[in-house]
Amino acid sequence: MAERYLDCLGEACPVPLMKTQKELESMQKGDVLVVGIDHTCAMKNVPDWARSQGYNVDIDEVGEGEWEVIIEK
Amino acid sequence: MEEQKNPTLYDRLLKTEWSYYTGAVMITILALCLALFSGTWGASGPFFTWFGKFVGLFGIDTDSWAIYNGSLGGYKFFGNQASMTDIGLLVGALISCLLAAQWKIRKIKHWKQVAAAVIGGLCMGFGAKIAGGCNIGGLFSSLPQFNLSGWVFLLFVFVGATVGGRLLRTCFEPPVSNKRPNRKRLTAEQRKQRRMIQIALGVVLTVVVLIVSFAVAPSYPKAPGIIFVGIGLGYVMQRSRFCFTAAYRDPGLTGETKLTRAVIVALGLSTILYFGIHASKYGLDLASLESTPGSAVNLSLVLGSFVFGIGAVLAGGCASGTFVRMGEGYIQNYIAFVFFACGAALGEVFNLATAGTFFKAGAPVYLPQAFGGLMPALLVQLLVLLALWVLAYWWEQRKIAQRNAQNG
Repeated sequence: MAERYLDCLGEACPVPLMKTQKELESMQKGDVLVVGIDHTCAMKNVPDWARSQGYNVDIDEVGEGEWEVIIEK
Repeated sequence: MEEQKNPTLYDRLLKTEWSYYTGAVMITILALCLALFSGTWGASGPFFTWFGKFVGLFGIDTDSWAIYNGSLGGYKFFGNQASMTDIGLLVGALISCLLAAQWKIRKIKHWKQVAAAVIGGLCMGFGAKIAGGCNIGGLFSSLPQFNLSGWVFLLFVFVGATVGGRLLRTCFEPPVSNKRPNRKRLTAEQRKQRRMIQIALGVVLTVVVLIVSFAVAPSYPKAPGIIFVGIGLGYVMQRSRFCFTAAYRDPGLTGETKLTRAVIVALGLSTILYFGIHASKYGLDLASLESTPGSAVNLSLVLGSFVFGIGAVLAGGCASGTFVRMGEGYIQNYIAFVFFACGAALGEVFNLATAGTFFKAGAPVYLPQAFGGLMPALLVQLLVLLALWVLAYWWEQRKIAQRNAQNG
């Protein structure tokens, strides 16, 4: 059960989602990826995509306009 | 995993993001209100004017340049619909962000983002100017009015976005970092205080907008209405995370089509509403149609929409998207904004240079004329949009299945 952090702060759509998809490819089932995001569109489309892929998703608002999207593969 | 928090009343009213479909319906209604009250919604026009006005500040007589030809002198901000809706988009998004306590300065992380904003901005400005419109004027306000130019724009902006996506992936993607940045840990009290400041600023800004609107009303009677629609569009686009660019960018890059389908619904709904307007204006059999409405279908449109598609993907948003993101505090979009304006001036140079050549050879095509009446045009257009919606849905399901298969 590894946990990995992916820094997408300051990045615009669709880069955070592209990076998240790529990162998850190299991870095992049960691993957790924490994606740091401050793009308001990405805080919707990253969790949306992960949910439609069947992963467990939790969003934590860590600051004003800044989120950590926690994805369990 | 953390426990799911229940949304409070404040969250529901001002914070929780709306669905893409909610955004689609509200944007359609607001855009139609604007069309009925003042004129069809456009977003890219003011960039060109502002470029001339800005350069003019340095004592250069831009108004006498061939590309402006004396058009700058009579320009008044509160007399120009697109200028007001564009700033409305920015302010509306800013208000939405502040009321949700989600505003921050979104800094540039890597030089590649600056390069993408410069090239993307130039491409968008140039493309929108030679195509005669952006995602809004060339597509969202044009396709539902049964202009073939809107469909041609859609096709080639999609091709351009595919090329732009390839460029983004290979040249402009910032390197991957797995290091968690050190952040200041704030106490619950400090965080609450920061939230309250943002919400208060949002309320103050709303009041300021109201005061300005009514202050200019005596000289510009339509200004308050236009400003309200602009602010409304900015608020809705921010709150629902609506993005026209993502609709044709994401299917190829990430396999996501949720926004694609929402934009298709917005186009379909607008088509039905414009059908009513055109039917009352021209008659179902087009008996009172005097000249062909819409903009010309020509090589300039094809080239422009293609270049615009590349630019919108690189810059992280089209004309309307750029204003919304500027309101949200993205530095990258401020850079794109400046180069969008430069690109627009270059585009007009191109327009003048190619006037009368094969680039501009072509006429507007109004689909109801081609299909023999408004009713058949409505049916054909809605069927094509429905087919695109189904195709988009199928594409996303296919991509999900492919990924799941890869993961074994």
